[in-house]
Amino acid sequence: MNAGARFEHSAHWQFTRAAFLGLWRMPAYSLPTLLFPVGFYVFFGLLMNPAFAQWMLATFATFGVVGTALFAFGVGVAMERSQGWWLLLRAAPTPFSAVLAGKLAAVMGFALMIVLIMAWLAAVFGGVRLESGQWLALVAVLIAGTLPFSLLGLALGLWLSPNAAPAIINVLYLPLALLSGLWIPVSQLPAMVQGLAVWLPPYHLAGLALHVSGTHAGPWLQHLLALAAFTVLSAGLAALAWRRFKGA
Amino acid sequence: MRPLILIAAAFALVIALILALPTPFSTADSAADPENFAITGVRVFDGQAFLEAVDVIVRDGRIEHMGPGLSIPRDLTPIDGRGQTLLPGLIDAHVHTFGQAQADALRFGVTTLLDMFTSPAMLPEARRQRAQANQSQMADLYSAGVLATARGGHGTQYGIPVPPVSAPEDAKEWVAARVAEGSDFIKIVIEPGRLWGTPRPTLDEPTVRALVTAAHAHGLMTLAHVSTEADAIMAVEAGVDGLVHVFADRPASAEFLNLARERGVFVVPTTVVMAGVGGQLDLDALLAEDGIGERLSVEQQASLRGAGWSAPNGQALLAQSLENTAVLHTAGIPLLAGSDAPNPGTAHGLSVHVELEFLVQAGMRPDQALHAATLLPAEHFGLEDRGCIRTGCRADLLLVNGDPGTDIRATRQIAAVWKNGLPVTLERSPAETAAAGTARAATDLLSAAEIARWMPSDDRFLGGRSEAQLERDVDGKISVGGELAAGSQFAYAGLLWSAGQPFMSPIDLTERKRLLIRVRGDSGPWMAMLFSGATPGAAAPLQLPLIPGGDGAGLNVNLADVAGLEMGQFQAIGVFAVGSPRDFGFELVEARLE
Repeated sequence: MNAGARFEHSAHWQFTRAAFLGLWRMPAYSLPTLLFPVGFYVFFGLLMNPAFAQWMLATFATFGVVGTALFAFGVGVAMERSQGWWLLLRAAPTPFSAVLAGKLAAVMGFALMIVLIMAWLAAVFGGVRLESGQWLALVAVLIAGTLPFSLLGLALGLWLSPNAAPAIINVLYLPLALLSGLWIPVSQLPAMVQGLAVWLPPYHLAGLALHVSGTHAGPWLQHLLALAAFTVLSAGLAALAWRRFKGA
Repeated sequence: MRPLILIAAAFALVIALILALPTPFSTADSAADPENFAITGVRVFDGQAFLEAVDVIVRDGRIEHMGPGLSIPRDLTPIDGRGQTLLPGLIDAHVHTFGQAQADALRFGVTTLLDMFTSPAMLPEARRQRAQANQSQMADLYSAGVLATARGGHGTQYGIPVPPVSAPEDAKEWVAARVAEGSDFIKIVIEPGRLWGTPRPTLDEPTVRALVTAAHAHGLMTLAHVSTEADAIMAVEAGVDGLVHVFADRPASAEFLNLARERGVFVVPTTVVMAGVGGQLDLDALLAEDGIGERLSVEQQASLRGAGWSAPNGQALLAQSLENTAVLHTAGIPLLAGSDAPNPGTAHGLSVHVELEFLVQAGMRPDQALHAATLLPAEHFGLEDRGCIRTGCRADLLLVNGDPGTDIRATRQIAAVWKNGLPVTLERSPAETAAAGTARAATDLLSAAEIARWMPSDDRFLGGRSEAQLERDVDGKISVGGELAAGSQFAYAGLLWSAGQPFMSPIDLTERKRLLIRVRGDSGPWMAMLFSGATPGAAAPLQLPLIPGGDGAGLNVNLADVAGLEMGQFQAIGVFAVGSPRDFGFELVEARLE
């Protein structure tokens, strides 16, 4: 077998492909994850606040990629687990890392679609102009940003029952987005909740996205450190949940 | 092999899609020495709504971008805008542009003028100026040029030759002539004059319809002057795109409201001119506000103080205008802010701010009133990058102290104005300040006291290209020279003596019986022009040729014999070189009002 054929038959590629098609063919996932952030951006950003087109590109794209990760892992894992699919996979000779990596790759593919659609809408209808390096950095930061949220999603998916997962993740996701300033800049939120933002991971991902796109000044290191800490924390939670799952 | 190729292709496509995203405006082709700056922490009215505490970056005459807490690049001058409000430069949707109107308007943050009648000689320069976007001396001008009116109809009394439209068959040719002159839209006058007590011939419905059809065929919008509801209905049915006054002869009926909504017409209420001509403005209070008096030119002061058309019952006129404006607004008919400056009681620029106050008085929210003076007119007149503060918009900006969202009068607390991203000087020129003294008319207009009051005057006031320069010396000699150039319908250049102060404001000179003028110089011809009437510049001057004799030319007239002259409201005397284009020069050796 040559390299190409080996790759084609590799578990990683097959699981990536399967995970992506699985998400794509499930309208309950693919429609809201793609349409909500894009639609919100068009309505709240381009139509209602055209002056903030560039700012909101970064924050609504963050909103989009965070949702992609949380729902694909959180709800997806809870469902697959309950259907017994994960038990089967564990029994199969496939490396389990391929299952997770495939899902993560699929999530990144979705995130990429969201960011690219929004970037082009912002450029064509919002008059947003960035240097090519800034466009690339914006996309890269947001794609990389799916990792910690995927880990958090994995932990939740392993912990929650399939019935509870969608409700609980929605309850987490929407206030998290609002309080992190993804819809309205934190400075425009009521003063009493402004202080919460620094404790919320999406705030830091958006901060990094705003920074690399040249939209917002301010230091970037704190955002990076906060995200790193959040990644470690999520990974720890996921590991705990994984042990609990294996024991179950 | 397939998936690897697929992945490589997808990766390449993604990178291509990212690299193809547009990058910032190139700075290479921008004007030399652009002022780049950032206004930080400012409340912004973006043309539609208020945004709190944002930073706005202006580069190369355009808004580059905006947002809260932006990183301000080091090459930008930061301007702390906390406690202030940044607005798009205002758009006046009804003016008449003479003299220094474009400069006068700009000092009040009005950066675009939609002119409803002026000399077509101004149009080529207006087009050049607004396309170049490299100056901060004048507001940009879009204009109808001359208006469509009946022979002897409203609009013919101002001294600008107006080719009349006599019948529907004339419309095509008439509109084509305006297109050739460079008109941006077509203004149609439907004014029987009844409301003003001076009946005049007016255009009939078939002619209006023919004008609209002809204008639309050229892709030009049509705007109608009306003063009665019946004429408003006629105009809208004939297909006009907008009305440039609100009618005030009676309360707006459901018939009009439905028709206007159905046809999608907009209305420029110009309540400020209704208040002005009806004498319903508290000008003393207005002029006592900080920063307003210092910024008015003599022309602005003159028009502001100009006596009204003795409109019957000014209070009722204003009340009905406001009521109809309120009803139109409630009915959802788009309203645009316009002043009709420089009619009596108005001044270029300033009156837009007063109109905003009237619009709020008529029930609009401050943000709606500001929309009516920014983005809304820009949209209706197809001005793409004006009236807005967002990425890519022209940096025509007005920075005011306070919050017009809570008190609309804050728009008059002007802190700074930018035109094309360049700062605008808010004070009028020192020369004008010096001229604004007070004096009464003497008999010998060349006496030591009076000689300073002669000013050079030429057809640039009406958009021509003639130029006059003055030379005076203390022993009562004053001479003028320059170039009399083709370019306006009526070329003139010479000098002008204003009887009253401010410039051209009427004073009572009924006790004077004779006028003597004598000039010496080149071969002529020369002409004296007498300006009178309640409103400065409203009526065409009376023209008296100077009769050659001796070593020059002169006149000696009994003022009672001059038909149409109103000595009770005497404004000014002009002495001009006229006739064929030439370099001219003459000395004024005698000028007496006895």
